[in-house]
Amino acid sequence: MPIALIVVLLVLGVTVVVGVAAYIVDRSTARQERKQ
Amino acid sequence: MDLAHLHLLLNHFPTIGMIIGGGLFVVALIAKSTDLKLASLVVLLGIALIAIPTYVSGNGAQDAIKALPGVSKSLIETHEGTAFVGLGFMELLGAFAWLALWQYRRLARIPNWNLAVILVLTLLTFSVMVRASNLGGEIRHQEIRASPAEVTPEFPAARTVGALMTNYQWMWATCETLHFVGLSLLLGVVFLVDLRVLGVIKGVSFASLHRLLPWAALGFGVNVVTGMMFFAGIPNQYIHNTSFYWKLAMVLLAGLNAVYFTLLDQPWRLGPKEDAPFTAKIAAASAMLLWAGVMYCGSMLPFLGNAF
Repeated sequence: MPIALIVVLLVLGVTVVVGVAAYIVDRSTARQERKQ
Repeated sequence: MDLAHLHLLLNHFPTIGMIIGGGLFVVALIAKSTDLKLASLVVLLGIALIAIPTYVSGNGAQDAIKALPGVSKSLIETHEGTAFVGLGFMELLGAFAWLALWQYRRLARIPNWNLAVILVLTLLTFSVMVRASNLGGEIRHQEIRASPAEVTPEFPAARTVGALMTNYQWMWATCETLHFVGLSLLLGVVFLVDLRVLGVIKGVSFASLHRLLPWAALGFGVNVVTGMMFFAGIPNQYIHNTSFYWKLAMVLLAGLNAVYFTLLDQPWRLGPKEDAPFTAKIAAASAMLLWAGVMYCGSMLPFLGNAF
């Protein structure tokens, strides 16, 4: 596999994982705030 | 003063700091004291930041003593590998400690699941740090070694990661790109928060922007991980690089500055169209200067220093 493709896939993968983690933290905290 | 002196100065902080921070945290859980919990979390976050220059200066100390008689190379490698694993746990603990401070600001309490995670990580980090400290002491103090014979090297975590970074071309390219993704995430949020405090986009309350801080923290996390992987790959291009040390010093100061915007009441009370107090503006302006300085020193690694 060409190096550029490996880099693009890895960068996209890590960015998606980071984005999902931040989204989960944001949504779960917002839900608890609304409950209060 | 050289890096060996700096390492000797700093290397007690992760272990003793863990006793203080972790001990306070356990006492806070038993006493159910919110103030103690917050204080212990700030200590743990501070130790997580100090652990970075502690690890980095260890490579300089290694350079200074590796040729001395009686110094075991395999013991140094085992100490380095254990410290690298300990650093990983410490940074993870720092991340959850920061998250707890952020959650407290929003919810006026820290969720139990995060307290449990912090407790487990505290115990794990402390046990690895104690092992790393003991191995570090044995390097120059042969009298405390269990066996005076050459130590069989254990899993050299730092060397393994370093070899991955240098043996596979795509590793460095991927980490370099992710370092910029993390930087954009971090500075995009931090500058937005700081500009609001300085009086731009006054219609937005501070609490609304505070909600974005975990994105910045995750960006910072990506940069700490990728940054340490660069360092593990070719440590020699950083340990004699003045620009790198300025960058590290400014990262630490900016990290402490972030506690102000995460936790304290003064910026939190800033509603829409309200003007921030002078001290908050000073904190915001200094944060912007520090992060600009971090970017400048990072870019200048090959020019002011001798990297690449």
